[in-house]
Amino acid sequence: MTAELPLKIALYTGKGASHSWIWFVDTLSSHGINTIEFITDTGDIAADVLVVSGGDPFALFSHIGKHGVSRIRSFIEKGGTYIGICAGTYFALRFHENPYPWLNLVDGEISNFAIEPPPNIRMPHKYLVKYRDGFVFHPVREAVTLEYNGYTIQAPLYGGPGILSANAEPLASYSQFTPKTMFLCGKEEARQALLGKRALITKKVSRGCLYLFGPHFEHPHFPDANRELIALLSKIPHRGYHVEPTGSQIKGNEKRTWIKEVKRWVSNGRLAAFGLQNYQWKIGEKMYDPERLAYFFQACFKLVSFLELQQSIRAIPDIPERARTLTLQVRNLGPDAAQAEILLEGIKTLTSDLYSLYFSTLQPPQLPRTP
Amino acid sequence: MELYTDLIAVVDLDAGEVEEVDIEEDFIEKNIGGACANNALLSQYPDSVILGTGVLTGTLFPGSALGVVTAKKNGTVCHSAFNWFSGPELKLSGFSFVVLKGKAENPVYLWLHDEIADIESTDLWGKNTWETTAYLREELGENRIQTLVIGEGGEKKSGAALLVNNYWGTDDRNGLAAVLGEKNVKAVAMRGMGEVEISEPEEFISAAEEVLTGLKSKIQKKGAPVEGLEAITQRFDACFNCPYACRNFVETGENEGVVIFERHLKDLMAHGLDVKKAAETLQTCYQLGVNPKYGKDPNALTTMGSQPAQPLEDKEGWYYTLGVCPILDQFGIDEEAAVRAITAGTGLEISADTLDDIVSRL
Amino acid sequence: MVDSRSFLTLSAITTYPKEDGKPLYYVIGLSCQVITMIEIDPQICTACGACEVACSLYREEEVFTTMRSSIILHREERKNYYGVMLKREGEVLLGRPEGVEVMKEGESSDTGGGGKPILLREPCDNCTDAMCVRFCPTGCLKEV
Repeated sequence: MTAELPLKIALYTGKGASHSWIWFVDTLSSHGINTIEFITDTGDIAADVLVVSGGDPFALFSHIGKHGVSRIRSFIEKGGTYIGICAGTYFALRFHENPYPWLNLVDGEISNFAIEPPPNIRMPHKYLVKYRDGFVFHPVREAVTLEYNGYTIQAPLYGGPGILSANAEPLASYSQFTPKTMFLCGKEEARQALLGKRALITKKVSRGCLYLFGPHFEHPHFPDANRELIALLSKIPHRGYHVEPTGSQIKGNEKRTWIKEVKRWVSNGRLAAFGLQNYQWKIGEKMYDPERLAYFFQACFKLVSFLELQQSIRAIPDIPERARTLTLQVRNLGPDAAQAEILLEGIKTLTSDLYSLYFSTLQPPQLPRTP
Repeated sequence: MELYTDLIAVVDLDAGEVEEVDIEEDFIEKNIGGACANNALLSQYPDSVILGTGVLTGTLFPGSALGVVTAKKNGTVCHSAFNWFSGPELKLSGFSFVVLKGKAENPVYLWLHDEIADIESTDLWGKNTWETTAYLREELGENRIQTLVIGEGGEKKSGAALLVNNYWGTDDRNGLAAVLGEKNVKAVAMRGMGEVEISEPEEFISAAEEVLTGLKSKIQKKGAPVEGLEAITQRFDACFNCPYACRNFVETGENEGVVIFERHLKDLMAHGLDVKKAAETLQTCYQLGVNPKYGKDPNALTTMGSQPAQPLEDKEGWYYTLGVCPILDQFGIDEEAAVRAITAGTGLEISADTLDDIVSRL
Repeated sequence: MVDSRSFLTLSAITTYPKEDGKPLYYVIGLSCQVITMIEIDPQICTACGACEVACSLYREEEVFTTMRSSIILHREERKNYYGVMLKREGEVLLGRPEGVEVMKEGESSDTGGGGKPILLREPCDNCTDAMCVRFCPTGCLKEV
C-alpha cells in the first residue's frame, strides 16, 4: 500500500544553504514532483530522500552539528537516500583526513585541493577556500561536459568537487570544457584538476544510498541534466511517507485580503532588493551579493503571482507580517554582514513557506489508495 | 489588453481605498488612450484627476515617453503632459490609468508598484520637490522610482503651480499640480517591473523601426535651440526611447544641476534673465514646483492667482493620445506607420480616420 | 584569416561503427563563426533606455518590459551621471562618462555604476542584428 505514496523529498534550506535549492525545486516541480518538504535542521527526517544542495559546507556543519550529522547517518542506514550537490557533496565526503566530523560516509580525495593551488585569473572571491594546510580551489565555473551513461551531457559547476578514487561507484565524469566554461585558473591547470575526474558517484550504505553530485544537474537551463536527475529520482524506492499540507485553506475575501498583503510586501521587498547598491557580505566562508537576495524575492513574487490567480489557496496567517519585516530589513540594509545574514535566513524561510503553500494549493497531499 | 497593463486604479482619497478596474478592449477601441481615454474617465469620475498613458507609451515606438494628467480647472477640461521616464514607469507599474477622486483628509502620496496602489500618509508636506523625490527613493529603496511631485506651488494651489517629475519640470501648462494640492496628494511614486503584451510583435517592430529610421535621418541637433545654452551644457539627455535628446543638463553647483525644458528656460529669458541665471532660477522653480511662464521670482510664483487654461495646440491631441512626445512633430512622424504600430500592437482594427475622429473629440 | 574573436565549431560529429566494432569518426560539418560583440560608446549615450526594452523584447519576444535585458541603464539623476552596464559571460561591461571598463563578475567598481544586481540577468548572447543596436537612437551601442 505504501508504494502508492509518491516519493517524498526533504530539502535542506537552513543555514549554509545558498539559493541553488530553488533550482532543484523548480526543476522537480516542472517535472510534476511537488512532494518536497523544506527542512532547516536534520533532527527528524521523515522522507525518502534528503537533499543537501549548494552553499557553504562549513556553515552547514556548524548548523547541523554532530547530532544532526548522526541523524543523517541513521536516516541513510535505515534506507533513506542522501543526495548531495556541490556543498552537500563536500559535506558527505571523507577527504584528506577530514578534521570535521562531517558525514564522512564516502572515502575519497578531491582533485581540487592543493597546498599551492594554481594562480587565480578571475573571480578571486569564488576561487579559494582555506582548508587544513591547503586550499580547496575552484578551477572553473559554468557549463562543463560530462560523460554519463555512455554519452555526454552538460551541467554547470559552481564550486563542486572533482572526485578521485572514492570507494563508490562512478556514474559521471568531467570530460570536456565548453565555450561557456569560465576559467578561474589557467586552462591547463583546470584540465589537470578536473577532466577525467568523477562528477557523480553513488554508494550504498547499509540499507540506504548516497548520490553525490559535483555539478548542478538541477539547474533549470540544462534540460538534459534535469532529465537524468529525474530519471535517477524515479529509481529511488518509496517508503510510504505522507506529505502533510501546509497552512489552512482560504478563499473569497479572506484569500483576497491575505494575498494582497503578501504581494504588497513581497513586491516592495523585490524592488528594494533590485535597488540594492554594490555591497558584498561575507557570511560564513561564502560571499553573498545583492542578487542572491533579489533571487529569493523574485522567486517569492512568482509564487505569490501564481497564488493570486487561484480561487482557493493554502495560507499561513503570519506571512504578510514576515514579508513586511523582511522588506523593511532590505530597505535598511547596509554593509553589515550580520544584518544580511538575518535577512538571508528570513527570506529563505519565507521562500520555502511560499513553495510549500504553492505545492499544497497545486496538489492536495496524496493519500494511500484503497487496495 | 495588448499595449496596456491590465488595470485602472480608482483611488478614493476620501475613503482611503483603491478599486482596481480591468481595462476593457472596448474602452481602448473607443478612446485609444492618453488624453482621449483620460477624458472618458473624467466623464465617468467627475472632479477627479486622471493620470493616463498613451497607447504607445513605454513601447519601442520612438518618443513613447509621454503620460498625460487630466483634470477640470475652472470648469474647463485641461491636459498636461509628463515625460522623462514617468509615462513608461506608470504603465509598467501595472496601472495604465489612475483616477484620483475625492480629497485625502491629510497629506498622502500614492505608491504604484506591481499592480498594487498604496495610499500612504506622509509628513512630506512642506518639503520641496527635490527633497520629496530623494526621500521617496531612499524610503522605498530604489532610485529608478519615478515621481510626480508637487512643491510649494501646488501645496498653496498657486495658479503658477507646476507638476515636477523627479527633479525636473513637466509640461504642466495648466497648473494641474494645484489640483493635486487641493486633493492633499503630495506625490505619486511609480516603479514599473511589469510587462506589456504585443499582439503582433514583428509588425510592430517593423513600423517602429521605420519611424525611427525616418527620424534619425532628420534629427541633426541636440538640446534646446537657445542662444548661449550649449556653452553651459554639461551633457544632453533624452526622455525614454527618444531619438531627440532635447534636454540640456546645466550644472548649477557641485554634483547638481538642472535638466532644461526649452519653453521654461525661454520664459525666464523673456523675463530678462541671461541664460546662466535663467538656468539657475529654473532649478529653484522646479524645487518649488512653479512655472516660470508667469514670472521670474520663484517664491512669488508660489502664490499666484488662477491662470487661464492652455488648450492643446495643433497636433498635440494626437500625440497626447498616442503617448508620443509632440516635440518630435518638428521632424515629421510617419503617421501611417504610427497607425500600423497601434494596429499591430493592440490587435484592434484602427484606421487613421478612426484615430483622427477620436482625437477630434478633445 | 580569422580574428581573435572567432572560433571554430564542429557542427556535427557522427560515429559510424566499423566492422570490427571500433568507432570511426567523421566530421560532418566544419564552420567558422565570427562572434558579434556589443561595444559601448558612453560619450554619445543620452540615457534614453531604449536598449533595455529592445533587449528585453529580444529575450521575451512578445512583451515590452525593462526587466529581461542584459543591459541596464544606470543613472544618478541629480548630478546627471549616467551610463549603461552590459552583462557578458562572466563580466560586466561598464560604459560610463569616464570611459569603458570591464568588471569581472563579483568585483566591485570603485566609482559606482556596478550596483544593481545585473548578475540575475542572462548574459548578452552576442546576437547579430541586435535589437539593442537597432533601437539605439544615437549609435552608442555598436556591433563589432
